[in-house]
Amino acid sequence: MSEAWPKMYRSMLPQASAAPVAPAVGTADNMLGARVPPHPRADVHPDASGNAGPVGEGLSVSPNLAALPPSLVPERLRDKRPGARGTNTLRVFRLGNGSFVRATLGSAIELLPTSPKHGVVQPIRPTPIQDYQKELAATQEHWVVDES
Amino acid sequence: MTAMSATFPAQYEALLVQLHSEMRAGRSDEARASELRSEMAAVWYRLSEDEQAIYDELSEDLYILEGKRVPVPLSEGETAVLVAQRLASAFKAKENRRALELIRKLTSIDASLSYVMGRCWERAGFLRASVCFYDFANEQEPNAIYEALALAMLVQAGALDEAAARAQAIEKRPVVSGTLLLKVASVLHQTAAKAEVSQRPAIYARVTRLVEVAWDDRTAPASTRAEGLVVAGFSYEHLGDKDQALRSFERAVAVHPSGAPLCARGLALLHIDRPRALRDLTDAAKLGTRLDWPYLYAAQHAIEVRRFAEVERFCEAGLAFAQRAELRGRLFEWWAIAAIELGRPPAEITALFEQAMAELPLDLVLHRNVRMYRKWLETERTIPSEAWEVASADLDEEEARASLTG
Repeated sequence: MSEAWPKMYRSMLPQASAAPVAPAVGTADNMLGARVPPHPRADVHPDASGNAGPVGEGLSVSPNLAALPPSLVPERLRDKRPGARGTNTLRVFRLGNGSFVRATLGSAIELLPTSPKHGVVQPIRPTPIQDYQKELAATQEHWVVDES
Repeated sequence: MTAMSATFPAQYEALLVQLHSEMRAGRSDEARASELRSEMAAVWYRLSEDEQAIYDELSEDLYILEGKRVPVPLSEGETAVLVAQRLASAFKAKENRRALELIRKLTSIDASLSYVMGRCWERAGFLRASVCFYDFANEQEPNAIYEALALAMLVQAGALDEAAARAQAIEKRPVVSGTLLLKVASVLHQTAAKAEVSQRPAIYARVTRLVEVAWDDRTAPASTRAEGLVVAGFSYEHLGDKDQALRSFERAVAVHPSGAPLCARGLALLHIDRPRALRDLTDAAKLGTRLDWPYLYAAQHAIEVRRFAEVERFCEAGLAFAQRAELRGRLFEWWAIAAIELGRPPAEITALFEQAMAELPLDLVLHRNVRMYRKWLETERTIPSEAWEVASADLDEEEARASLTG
């Protein structure tokens, strides 16, 4: 099922002692989860009722490794991505294998490409922020390390 | 590669330089580096593709400083000798990106190549990055010129606190070259304006002491010695010692009779010996100073002594640099007056007055001169030269001084 989802990449910290390697779930930088205010670089800004989306903001993803911000690509991948300057503790994860186009990931979240090199995974409808975070966390098992 | 001045590229450059500095210090996995990376990621998608490519190239170059250089393989048929020859041509032609590409193909980077990299990044407008390469060149082979350049670039990049801290450290060394001491004096002078009013006299006094020790060092380039003497002169003025200030400017002109020393002496003499001051400012204009205001004084002086061909030349040259309407308007007006006196065609004169009016639509002196010109066009009677009203050329002198050391 998740193989049909759009192919997207994201640099994240691996969850400690998980096998196979999976992204760590959380709301800090480089985790599987959206950063919310008061984080200075919040990914989503819930409304007064505590709902997020769908307003074009959410978890940042890219269509391929080369399109990721180089400060988040581990330095060990400089041969594949010149200028890579991320910490080597990060892993590059991939989700899905379809085209990088607007499409749902399950019943509550979707990929919204914002440019050919960037997209966000956002709620399909206004969703309580905690539910949105749970939906993102639920994708954890579908992310695979892909640093090729 | 052209110079970039937009906010996001400048912000990204500063973050990138800081990140590589953290990485070089072995703190790649610590909180500060993580914060920097996250800030960089937030800015990344706001950069154009070309800007992104340049920052990737800069990042790869900064890896050199960490000893993590990955040389780019030579192309087919290319040799190291050929690359070196092409590099020399590209550097001379100021093809900065091309020169940097070629350096990445060389097997090792010595101090002179690090310096060339600094120059290329500097010329491309990446001033903070250029400091890294000048510092690296200085680490590889200590040289006052590299250190002075790094200081100068920090000041130009607006990193005055860092420049001041470095200047203070250099000042404490037991032995320092004249070149470096004079550069330190310039940096201190610039930091004085930002300091608390009560602290300024002490800073100006330090500047004068440093310059008095170093200005006569013949191993320092004449332009550097003159620059030091000019800032010392301004420091003496701030300390209320006008005689010492003038002495310092006189020395600066003697050491290097170029635009800045002449302008500095001209300003100092403006209310003491105006004819001599105007001669200095006229000489600066004749030397093609890139400052706009000396042309105004030079043109006014030329009008007063009825050298109308000179007026034309000064106005035309000054307009190439002048941005401010009050200055541009006056230069167009005086050029029009000179054109009348030189018998230029009325269409040319009218066009010059129109441009002056566009710059200074409410200026009364200009309006009166234009009315007199229109009357002359109707009657075709000669206007006596002295009939023209020549407005005062006096500008904000503090601003003029600042333009000499900024």
